[in-house]
Parts: sequence; structure tokens; C-alpha cells
Amino acid sequence: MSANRLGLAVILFLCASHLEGHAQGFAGLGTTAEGFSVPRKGVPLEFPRDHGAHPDYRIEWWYVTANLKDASGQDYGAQWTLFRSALSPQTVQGWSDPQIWLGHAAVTTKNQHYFGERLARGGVGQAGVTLQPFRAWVDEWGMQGTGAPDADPLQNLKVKAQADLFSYDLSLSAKGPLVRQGDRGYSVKSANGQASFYYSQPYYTVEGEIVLEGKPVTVTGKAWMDREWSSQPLAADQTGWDWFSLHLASGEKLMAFRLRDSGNGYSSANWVSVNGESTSLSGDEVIIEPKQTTKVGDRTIPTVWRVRIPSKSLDVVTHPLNSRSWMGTTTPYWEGPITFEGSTSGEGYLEMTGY
Amino acid sequence: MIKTTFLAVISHWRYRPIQLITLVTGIALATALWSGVQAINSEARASYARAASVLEQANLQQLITGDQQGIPVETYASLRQAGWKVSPVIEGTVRLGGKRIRLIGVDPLTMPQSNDAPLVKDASDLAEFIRAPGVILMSAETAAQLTDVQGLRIKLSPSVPEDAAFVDISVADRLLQRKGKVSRFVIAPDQSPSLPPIGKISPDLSIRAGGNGTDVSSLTDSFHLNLTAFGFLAFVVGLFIAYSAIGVTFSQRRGTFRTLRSLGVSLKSLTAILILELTVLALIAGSIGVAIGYVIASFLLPGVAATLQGLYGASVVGTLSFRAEWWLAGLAMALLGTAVASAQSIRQLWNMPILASAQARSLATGAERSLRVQAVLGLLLLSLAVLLTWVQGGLVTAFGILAALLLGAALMLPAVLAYTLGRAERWARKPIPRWFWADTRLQLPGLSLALMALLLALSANIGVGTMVSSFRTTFIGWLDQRLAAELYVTARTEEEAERLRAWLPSRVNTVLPIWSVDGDVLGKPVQIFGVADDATYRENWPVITGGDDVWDKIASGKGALVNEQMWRREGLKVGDRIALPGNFSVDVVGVYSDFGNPVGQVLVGLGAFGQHYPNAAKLRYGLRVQTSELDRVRSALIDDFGLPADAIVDQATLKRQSRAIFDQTFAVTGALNALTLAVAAFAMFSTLLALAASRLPQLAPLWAMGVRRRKLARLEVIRSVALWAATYFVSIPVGLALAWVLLAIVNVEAFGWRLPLMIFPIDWIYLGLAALGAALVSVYYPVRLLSKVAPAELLKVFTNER
Amino acid sequence: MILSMSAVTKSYQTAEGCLSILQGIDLDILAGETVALTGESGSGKSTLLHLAGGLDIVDTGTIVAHGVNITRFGEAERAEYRRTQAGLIFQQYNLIPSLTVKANLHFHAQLADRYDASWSDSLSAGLGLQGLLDRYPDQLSGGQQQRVAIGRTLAARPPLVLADEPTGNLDEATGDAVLEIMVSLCKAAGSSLLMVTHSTRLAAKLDRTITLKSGRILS
Repeated sequence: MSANRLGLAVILFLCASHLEGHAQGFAGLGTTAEGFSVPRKGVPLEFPRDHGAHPDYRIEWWYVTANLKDASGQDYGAQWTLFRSALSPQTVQGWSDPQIWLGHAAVTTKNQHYFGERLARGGVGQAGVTLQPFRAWVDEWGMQGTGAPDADPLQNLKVKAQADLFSYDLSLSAKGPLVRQGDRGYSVKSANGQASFYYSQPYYTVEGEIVLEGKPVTVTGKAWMDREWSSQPLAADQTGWDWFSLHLASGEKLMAFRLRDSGNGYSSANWVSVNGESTSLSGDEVIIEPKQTTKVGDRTIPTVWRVRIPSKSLDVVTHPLNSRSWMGTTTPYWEGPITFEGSTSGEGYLEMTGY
Repeated sequence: MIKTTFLAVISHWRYRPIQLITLVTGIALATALWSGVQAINSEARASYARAASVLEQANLQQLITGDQQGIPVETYASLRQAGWKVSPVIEGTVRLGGKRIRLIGVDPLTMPQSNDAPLVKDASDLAEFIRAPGVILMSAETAAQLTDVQGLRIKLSPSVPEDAAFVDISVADRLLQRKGKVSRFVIAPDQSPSLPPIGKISPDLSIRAGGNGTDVSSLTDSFHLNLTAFGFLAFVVGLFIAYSAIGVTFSQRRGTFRTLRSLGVSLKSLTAILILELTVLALIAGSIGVAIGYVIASFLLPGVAATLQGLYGASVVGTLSFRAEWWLAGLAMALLGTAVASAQSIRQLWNMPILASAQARSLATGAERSLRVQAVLGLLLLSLAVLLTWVQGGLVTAFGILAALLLGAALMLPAVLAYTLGRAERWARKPIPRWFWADTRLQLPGLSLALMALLLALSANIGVGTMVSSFRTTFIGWLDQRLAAELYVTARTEEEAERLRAWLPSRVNTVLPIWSVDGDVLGKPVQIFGVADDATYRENWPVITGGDDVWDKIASGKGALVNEQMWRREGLKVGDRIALPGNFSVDVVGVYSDFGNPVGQVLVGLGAFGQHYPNAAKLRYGLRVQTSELDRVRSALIDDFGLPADAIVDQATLKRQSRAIFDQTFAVTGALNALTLAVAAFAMFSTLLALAASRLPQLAPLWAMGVRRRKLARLEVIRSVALWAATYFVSIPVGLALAWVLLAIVNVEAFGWRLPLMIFPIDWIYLGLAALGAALVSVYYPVRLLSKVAPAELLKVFTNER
Repeated sequence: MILSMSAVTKSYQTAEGCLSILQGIDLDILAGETVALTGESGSGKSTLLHLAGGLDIVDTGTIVAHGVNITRFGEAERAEYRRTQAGLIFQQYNLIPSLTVKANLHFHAQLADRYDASWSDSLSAGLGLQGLLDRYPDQLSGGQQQRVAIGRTLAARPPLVLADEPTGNLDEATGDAVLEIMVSLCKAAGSSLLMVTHSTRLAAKLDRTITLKSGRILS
């Protein structure tokens, strides 16, 4: 899932909010990051240290998506994201901190898509991430570690957010290990070698409450967290991405993405076994095709997809819970829960940008 | 039928184009001055509102603190984490490249969206704004005056008021050295429904309601009331013109009206047609008036802007935008004015019998009765004015006094003139003088409106002129006292100031620090100055009240001098104890005059000042130097010490600038004065012109008895001049009374200082000459018509055939 | 001879062109004579009266009053003539509205510097104006106003009184009464009277009648 969100976060700050073609923003990323650290292959991830912020990298996020159901079997999706974007590779106390924080939260139902956005600067306590105890927050939104002191801080979490018409308060509990994406956490994003550090926790079970327009709903389900940071993740000609996180009926997990560019694009995937073993799949092993589009405003967005991984005998078609899961935030994008059927079935999340 | 009647009614104008011009001019002038002043007012108000909304987002609620130091940054985090959508602001005054500007540090990430003035348009703007070194956003006018912006990138935005600039909150924090403390929070309008109370998060904070007027608008209210009063005066004077023009056209068309009615046009439809005619004329004249008003306003606005800047520090954009509201208001005023001016004529039309014509004398008899009523009313108003001076209280009362005084005097004027003329008539022995006085008295009802207008204009001239001259004389005397030091220097940094303090003493007679801090005293912002114990102050400072030992008490650190406006505003008495910021209490030991300053001032001893406000900027100094040494000291400061030339101001320059500001301040008043007088002269002109036609039957018998036309014309001139002169003499006491009200009541209410009334008879002579000139101009054309009138015209009076 | 007109012509410029009013008038009026001037509307009666009164100027011909040729007079001399030699009484607008009856009565005499209190008093008595002296003209009836006008003119004792339908606005009875007074007072003052009138009945009350027709005197 890496490139997509890296690009998104940077674009949020470096591009016009109304920018339609993202080429300009990508061109900005293609330059070498002055002063920022760049991900290098072979550097091992270390926990709990790497759950915290990396201010010397340009961008970073804590990203949770949840597929939920209420007692009557109705489907819901929930998103909680904290982006960090650094104007320069340092952090200082006070108003002049160059770290900018951005929160996105959303709840999706069959007919509605609610979202909210928060902006903040670092250094003054309005937003940030602490490790002991673990806490990522912007304003009153928060993702807080609730587990035992000796457990991994991400093992048990409380995730809260609220906006005009919705709020939620979810408890997440990991039923499996952390998963390092790519090559032990080093995730390549283009043929030219742009890359990020990337790990996930796809094994959360969730219980909690969603309040929609004043009406509380008790929900349970699955959640997936992504952690990623980088400084120079995309190639100059890449225009957008389509990213999938899938919970397979077998208990296996699949992360797959397609970066669109002027040529054939760049695809990649990671197959995660029930016990957390990760297999990186190269571009020619992953076939992602749009099947059907939806008009959202004046944009045409592919909302039904076919995902094939022949080497794993996977061939599924995904359908959105709500084809209008549009995030009308400072930089708009599509993000929402999906279900899939075919060689196997299950649920997950889809994110698309650059449309 | 309606159309035929309408055409018959308006055909009059083809024969009397001058009357049409007079009527239209009258309404247009009235509307022009009114809407011109309104345009200025609404532009200035819009400017404040824009400034307030841009600078403070004043339409939104704010969180403020009583703590001088500001609000700790932790409070911000607590508020945000509790769910309060508040946006921090760090603001203050900063000296950038020799110019003081208001710096407003905002956080664009949390600032509530404002449609009128987007600070940042897009994400790249945002990044540029926040990222070091940062952006400073200001108007082109302000930018042009800045020489140094501390490495910030200047971005121009026309919506930023003058002398203010927006920066990122981090930049403001650094430049204002606030160590992160927030000045105030803006509360976003869309808050979550269930938030913890502010008091639970931080008990020091209080909510200030949004949308209430800013300080500047309450300060400048008085000035605008002033302008509005002037505009209204001009409007009334203009209405006199319209009134007399309408009266004349109605009386001249009586024959037509009779004929139309005898031909079967009902009174109702005739009235309707006349109202239609007047409405059309009013709309045309009103449009012309609004256009002229726009021109007047655009000429006067820069002066007004300068006044507001000079007197109140309120920033007003010097350009005018065409606003629909005063365009409509101007037309409404034109219609209203026309309605008022024509009401009497319409009423007379209703009471007019179809036959029979009114004679001059019988009208005059009715007029004599109304003269008495007017006089009684005038007397009552004058009494009311006197009564109100005893009551006092508020600017509105002050203007009530002005209105009662002027209106009362105007209403009394015809009676006074009639009485005087009656005396003169009785006193005259010879037939021509006797006729002259009697005839003048007969003309009085017709002329009285124009004369009342003239009285208003002349009185306003004398009153305002006396006020301004008194103010100027006092002000210049005060400047001499106040600006006692020969040189004033300003260091650029504290480090430079320290070097200056070491460098100066051996080179000048005395160094007088001018150090000040801003703070709240008695709930209002004031400036607190520290003064050295020096003969300069003891000998020169313009102390109004205070004992001989004022300066000893100041030097001891226990006493304080306050300026007059603060003294009056707070009702302070010598001996009162006031609490200054920083746990510093002092006794008021005296009061000094402090013109042209909108805020309160407190003077304390330098020692005490240094103790309580160790962090105050110590940049400014007054230097006492021998006059002969002045140039040497100045060049030494520049060449040896290295101070830039613009950091040194000498007394003469400062005085010159102050005087220039002063004169500019009252240029608007002068212009309005002149305009009002011009309108009054036009009122007289149009009245005389209108009367000229009806004069022929009154003059023809004299001519027939052997009085030459030339002599009659000369007498007409003398009559006008005599009436002007009489009005002028009446206007002097009225004007002085007006000046007294302005100086002793309005000024105190509006500005907080009282000024002595000084009399400038030379100005009266100039005004008298101007009035005489205007009288001659106004009478010239009507009298020329008369002196050139053909005998045949005069003969026509006596006969219907040849 | 109080007034002698010879070969007087007068025309006016009008919109329709030059309108000839008087076409050669020869007329003599003796001292103390009362003469009626009659004729149809537009025959030139008023114009003749205005010329005789020095209000207007002849085109050709001469007018000699008291042996002086007034046709050569300038504006100032004509004004002087009106003040001292000729007294004019019109149908309307005779009085000065701003002055009282008394002041009106004295006005012309004072202008001509011929004010004589006893003569004035006898005039007001003769005209029956005693009770009205402090009133203003607009407080008088038409007949009263005209009597004041007559009194004002006669108070100045002009050698020649010129009256243009002085009773034209009055009813017959009032008009007759006013005329009788006027004629008898003229006689008493020794003034000649030239009076324009439409009425042959009134004309018959004077010494002789001259009739105008189309700008000429009918013999």
C-alpha cells in the first residue's frame, strides 16, 4: 500500500488542493530530498521504537481501516489516519516545529460516507505520537495503546474520532504478529528503486461503537493497520494508484497495489499466511484490472475490480460497500470497504487516488 | 387625458428652464452633500469592519485572558485535545525597518475559513507560509514603507489593512519574543455539541462575544457623527433651495392649474400628476446628486483617511468603491427631501380655490403670523439648548445641543430681521428709504428660508472655524511645551540603545529616555511612560492640574500623571490610586493635556518604571542640545556613532509634521464648510431669481412714478447685501455659541479634551468678505435681469392691451 | 398748453412682424382741461397714454409738455418727468403693497418734493380715506384702492394726470363715484386729465372726448 499513501500525504501539503493532475506533485517528489533520510535496504525495523515518529523522514503515517458489522449484519467501514509531513528534517518544541500533522477519519455505510479532517502543527501538543505509553493523536482524535506494559504497544488499541455527523470509539486487539512488507520492511515503489519502510498489523479484531447522526451502533469486525515512512517514494511519471488490503476467508491476508504511469504501471503485492509469514510478489505475478466505473461528481472512478494472482490461484472480483466512498478532504481521494468473491471470498479496503 | 394634463403641466419647464435647473440643482446638491458624506462614512466603516474581520476575525467569538503575559501553549493543547476548535493568534506591534506595524501571527492550519480574505489559497501557499523563513502578508501601501522585513518573503494582499501584516504564528512568536505565549484564540463557529466548559480547562480564559464593534469604531463614531451632522446640515440647506424652487413653480403655474381644473381635471389627478412629475425630477436630480456625491467623496476621502489615521490611528483605505447601499440611500434621500420640500406647495394646491388670486400682502399677512410661531418655536429650541448644556451627558446630547442651537437661531432669524426692518421703516423719513425697508420686510417671508440656510452656513463656518483655530493655537502651544527636547533618536536594537546610552552623555546636555509599555489600566489599554526627573519636564510639560510637587512625587515613584482624556473618561481625581500592570499601584498627582492621542497615558518616574517593567523597549531618547550644537551632534550621531539618518528627528521637523497632520485633519472640515456656504449662496441665488419675476408688479408703480430702473436695481442689490449683512451679524453670536458647544462639550465627549475658546475676528472679516462676495454673485444675475428689463415689460404690468 | 403731440407714430415688434399702433397723432390738451380717450380695443389708447406719461418713446413725431420737447429726453429725464409732470393712474397694480395707505398717499408727493400736509389731508377727506390710513392695500376693496391711487397722484399735484381705465375693475356705481371725485379733485388741483375709457357714459362727464381708431384720431 505504500506508494499511494506516501504520495497522498505529500501532495496534501505540496500541491494545490484543487490539483487534478498529480504529475506536478510527483515531479516534486522525484527530486532528491535535501536533508531528509532515505530508506535503505537491509536496515532492520525495530519495535517498539519504529512505532513512533521518524521526523528525519519527509512523510509518515499511522493508518487503520476496519471492516465492521452490527448485530443485524449490516456492513460498516471505518478509517482512522494520522499523517505526518515534515517541512524540514527536524522537530523542535514550540510554534516553529516544522512537523505538520493531518488526521483523516471516516465511516462508510451502504448509503452514506462520513468523513472528517484535522490539521495541526507539531511542537505544541496539538498532535503527535508518543511511545510510552503509545499514543497517536490530533486534537481529540486518538489511537491509544491499552495493553500490558510489556506487550507490543500496538497489541491493544483504542481508536477514537469524531466529526460533524459521526463518531466512533473502537477497541482493537491483534490476533497475530506484525508483518514486514516488501523485503523485511523495505518496500520498493517503482522500477527506479524508490522505496519506503513499511510494516502492517493485519490481524486486529475489533469491537466498539459507532455513532451516526446521533444513533449509536455496536459493531464488531476486523481491522488492518499500516505503518509507513519515507522521503522519496515515487517516480516522476506516476499519476496515481489503486491499493487493496484483503482479509481472505482462509485467514490469509493480501496487500496489492498498482501504480499508474505513462507506461504499463508498477504493480506489487504481499501474501501473508495465517501465522504472519509474508511473501513478496513481483509485478508480473499481480494482475489488477478495473471492471466497472462509477461517476462521483464529475470524476469517473473504477469501483469494481478483478484481482488475479495466478501463482496463488487467486481470481476475485471486488465490489464496494458504497461506490461513493469519496473523501472530500483537502486532497480528495476514494477510500472505502469492499467485499470480494471468486476463487475465494472475503472483505477488505480499497484506496484510489489520482482520479 | 392624463397624458394631456401631464404635458400641460410640464410644458411650464420649457418656458422656465432656469427654474427647472434651480430645482434639479437644489435636490442634486442636497443629495450630493448628504450622499458624499454618507459615502465617506460607509467607506470608512466598511474599512474598519474589513480590518476587524481580517485582523481579528471579529465576527467570531474569541478567547481572551486577563494575564498580561498571554496564554501558555499548554492551554492550547488542552483545548484542542478536549475537542475545542480554537485557533491561536500571537499579535503585537513590532518595529520593522523603522516603521511600527501591527503583526498578527496566525496558524493557517486551524484558522477558521474566511471567505473575504483567504490567507493561503492552496497547499503550496500553506507550506510557503509556514516553512522558515516564512511569508509576511501585507498591503502594497504598507510594503512600500518598509525597508526591512527580517528576511521574510513579502506577499501582497489588498485585503490586509494598512500598517498591519500577517505572518505565521511562529514568526510572530519570534519577532515579538513571546516565548510561545498566545495572545488570544479565535473560536471556530462549528463546535462539537458536547464540549467541556472552557473554565474547566483554563479558568483564566474568558469568551469575548463576536461581532461587537472594535475599539476603533467606537472611537471614530464621534468623528462620523460629526461628518453626518455636517452632511445633514448641507442636506437641509439644499432642501431650502428645492423648497423655494418648488414653491415658485407651483405659484407660477397656479393659472395653469386653475385652467386645468376648470376644464374638468380633478384635484386628485392633478395632484397625482404633480407628484409623478416631482418624483421623476427627484429621481433624476437624485441620480445626479449621488454622482456628484461620489466625486465629492472621492476628493474628500483621502483627507478623511488622514484624519482618522491621525486622530484615532484607524486605518482606512483611501479609495472609494461604489456601494449600492448609499446609491439607494441617496435616491431615497432625494425623494424624501423633495417630498418634504413640496408638501407645503401641494397642500396649498388643495386649499386653493379655483378662482381668485392671492395677493402679495395677504400672503405676507399669513407669513407674519407664521413668523411669530417660528420665533416662539425658535426661542423654545434655544432654551432647550441652554437646558441641555446644564444636563449634559453623552455625545448625542452634545449634538442635540448643536441642533437645537442652530435650528432655534435659524427659526428666530426672520422675526429678528422683521423687527429690525420695522424699526428702520419707522425711523425712515424719506419715501424711498421707507419704501425700501417696508418692501424688504415684505420680501422677508420669501427670502427667509434662504436666509436661514445662510445663517446655518455662516454660523457653522464661524463655529467650526473658531473651534479649529482655537484647537490649532492650543495645539501649537502644546507642541512647544511637549516637544521640548531638541533631538529625538531611536535605536534599532537594545544593544544599540545600550551603546547609545553610554555614548550620549558626554556629547549632549541631557538624555531623556522615552520608554513605554502598553498595558491595561482600569480595563482599558493605555501607554505607560517612564520619565526622568529633569528640568525639561518640570518647566515645559503641559500640566493642567497638579500641585507644585508633582514632579517630586513622580520622581519618588509613588505618583503618576495621567493624560486629560483618561482623566475625563475614568472620572479620576488627583489623589486617586490606580493599579498599573505588574502589581504597580500609583497615586494620580496631576493631569496633562495630550492632544491627538486616542488612548490613555500614564507617566511614572523612570526609576519605578525600570523596576516594574524591566523588559520594556529602551530604544527612544529625547536629547537636550544647545541650538548651536544641533548640527554637530546630529552628524556625530550619524558618522561617529553610526545611527541611520532616519532614526534622528529634530524638534522642528517633528513640529512641522505634527502641524501638517493637524492641518490635513481639518482640511475636510474646511472643505465641507466651503461647500455648505456655496450651497447657501446658491439657495439665495435661486430664491432671488425666483422672486425676480414676481418683483415686476411691485416695482412697476415706482418706475411709473419716476424712479429709475437703475436706482431700483441698486436698491435690490443693497437689499440683498443688507439682508446678508444682517444675517452675517446674527451668525457671529450663533457661531460663537456653536464654537463653545464644540469646544467645551462635543470635544470633551468625542475626544476627551477640552479646549479654551479663542476669538479670531480677522477670520470673521474674511468670512464677511466671502459672504459679501457670495451675496453679490447671488444677486448679480437677478438684478441684471431687472435693470435690463424693457419698459414694455414693465408696461405690461399695467395693461392687457397696447 | 399742457401737452402737445404732433405727428406721433409708434409701432411694436411682435412675433407676427412689425405692428403699427399709432399712425400720426396730433393732440393738444389745455391746462385744466379734462379729456376722455375712447376707442376699440387695440386702437392704441394705452400706448398714447404711455407716451404722454413718459413711460415709452415715440418712433417719430414730437411731444411737447409745458413747452419742453420730451421726445428727446433720456431715461433719467423721463423719470424726472414722471415724478414731477405727469401722474399715472392705472386699472390695477397702482399701490405699493408694502406701504400703508397713508404712506402710499404721501409717496409720490414726497418723491416729487411737493408734499403738502394740508392738501394731503383735504385729499384724504375728499376721497373718504380717513379711516383707512393705517391699513395696507390688500386690506382695501377695489374702489378704495383706486381712490388711494387717485389721491396719491393728486397729492403730488402733477400738471397732467394720465388715467388708464381707472374704474375698469369697479362696478358701475363705485366707478361713477370714483370718477366724480377724480374729476372734481383734478379741477381743484388745477391738473389736466387725460383718461382712457371704454365707456361713452363716463366720457361724457369730461370736457371733451377724443376717439381713436386704428391708430388715428377720428375727427
